[in-house]
Amino acid sequence: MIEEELIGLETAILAKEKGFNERTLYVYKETFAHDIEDHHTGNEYHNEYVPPRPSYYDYFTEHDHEVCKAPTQSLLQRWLREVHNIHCWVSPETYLNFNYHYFMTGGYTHMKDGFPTYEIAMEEALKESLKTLKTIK
Amino acid sequence: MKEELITFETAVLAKSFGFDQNPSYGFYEKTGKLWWSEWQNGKEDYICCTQSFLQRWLRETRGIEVWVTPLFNKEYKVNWFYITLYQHPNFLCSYEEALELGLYNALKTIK
Repeated sequence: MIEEELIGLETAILAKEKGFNERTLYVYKETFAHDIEDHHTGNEYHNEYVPPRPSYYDYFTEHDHEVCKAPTQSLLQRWLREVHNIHCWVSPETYLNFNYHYFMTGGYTHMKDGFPTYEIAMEEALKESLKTLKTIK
Repeated sequence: MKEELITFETAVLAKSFGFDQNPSYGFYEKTGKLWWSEWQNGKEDYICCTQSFLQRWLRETRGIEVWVTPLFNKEYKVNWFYITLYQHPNFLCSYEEALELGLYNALKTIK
């Protein structure tokens, strides 16, 4: 079963710190369900589906326990491109061992290779791109 | 800002190549109207999904990689983008099949 790839919790928290606040189908919420544990704080989180209707969305986003938005990798990639002019993309290493590498450009170009899957490479690219942005308090 | 969905034309083409994954975004009916409800596997309906979802389906089920690369001008501004198509060798059976795929995709890029 193929699914949309959501960004991980660590990347999601970083994105929030850098000002990402777009509407998303999923959010990370603090929970007692023991789904995801942040090893730095010991707090537990899970990502929860938000139905794509504004009324439900408002209800969920007003919920006290939302930690941060959980966008798909492609939505965060678009946000970086359109809001911050940072381009990141992933392509296969076609002449090597069919791993993946990522590129990011935003004032300078950065490339890193050797990732086993597209999604892992993209996650890393997004994280590195976010790190170049200033933190918004 | 929202996820970019595939167009009706792409949805029709995807279905003709066996695209049957349902990401629950909705579906196009045969007139091209988009319905925001669960796809019921109607014969004349076409699954709508995000561009990235179809990109992943192509990668994981057909071994076809599609990616977009920006082109920069002298001022380091992005003016254009170009696409690259690549198919993993283990998904191909013969030279002719590989070339056929290349020709088909090349022709489809002509407007």
